[in-house]
Amino acid sequence: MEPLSRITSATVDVLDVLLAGQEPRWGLEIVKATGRASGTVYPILDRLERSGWVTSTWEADSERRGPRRRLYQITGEAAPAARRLLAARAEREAARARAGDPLPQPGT
Amino acid sequence: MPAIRCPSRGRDVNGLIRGAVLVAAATLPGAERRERYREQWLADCAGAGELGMSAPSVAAGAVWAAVRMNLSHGAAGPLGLAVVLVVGGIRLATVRPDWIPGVATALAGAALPILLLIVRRFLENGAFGDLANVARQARRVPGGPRRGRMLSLTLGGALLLTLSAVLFLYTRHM
Repeated sequence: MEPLSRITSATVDVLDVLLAGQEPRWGLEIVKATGRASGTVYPILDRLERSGWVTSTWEADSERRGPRRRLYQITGEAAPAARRLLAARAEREAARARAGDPLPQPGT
Repeated sequence: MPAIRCPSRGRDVNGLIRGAVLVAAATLPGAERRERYREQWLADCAGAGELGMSAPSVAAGAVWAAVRMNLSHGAAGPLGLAVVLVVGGIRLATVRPDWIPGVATALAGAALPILLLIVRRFLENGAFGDLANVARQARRVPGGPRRGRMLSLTLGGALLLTLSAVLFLYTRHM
């Protein structure tokens, strides 16, 4: 697993969604769960996968015909680092709330 | 590598959406990635309705993702050069009575990213234009990623500055 060169708020959102479930999740489901645009989430998933933070596999649903869905799962090695990133963000948001600053909106 | 299933036999994907996804996936570096994302994005467009999302917005996301995934592989140098050529060409065309060289320069700049994509499409690993591979190689050079990045930044910056200076000086005395 390589350290991430750039950790944006959207990256942390994606990690949050991936950490929420144990099962591999469909890429588009992750897009939906983050509330971010697919054009933002796809490159993040690509970067996380290339850095060894997530793994992806084709779905094994033989009933559905046509192109297969890609399922993503966070690696065991990356999970603690992802949790630390989430905790750090929660701390920053709490500090900001205490200071009375508005929380950043998605996409900022 | 697993065979790609024929999307047309599965759920319906509008021809325009399918075309946008195919073009977006075709611009990605590496044959394996192109095939993988082509199938993945087609499946996402086909299944978008299940999640209450629209297939066109997913296809647009795929196009934007392809642009960003290309930009993240050391494409800053060639794109910077393209911008210099386009801007310099437009300036040349507007200040010179003979506008043809300026227009030709601007068109060359506009064509450069497309040319790079075509070169990369047909010449894979290790070949000129495979920016993803170049980026991976840079990480393996002695001294680690910082040295490779600094070298490419320095050379790219020097090239851009030289070209900008030449174009500026050339047009200033007209």
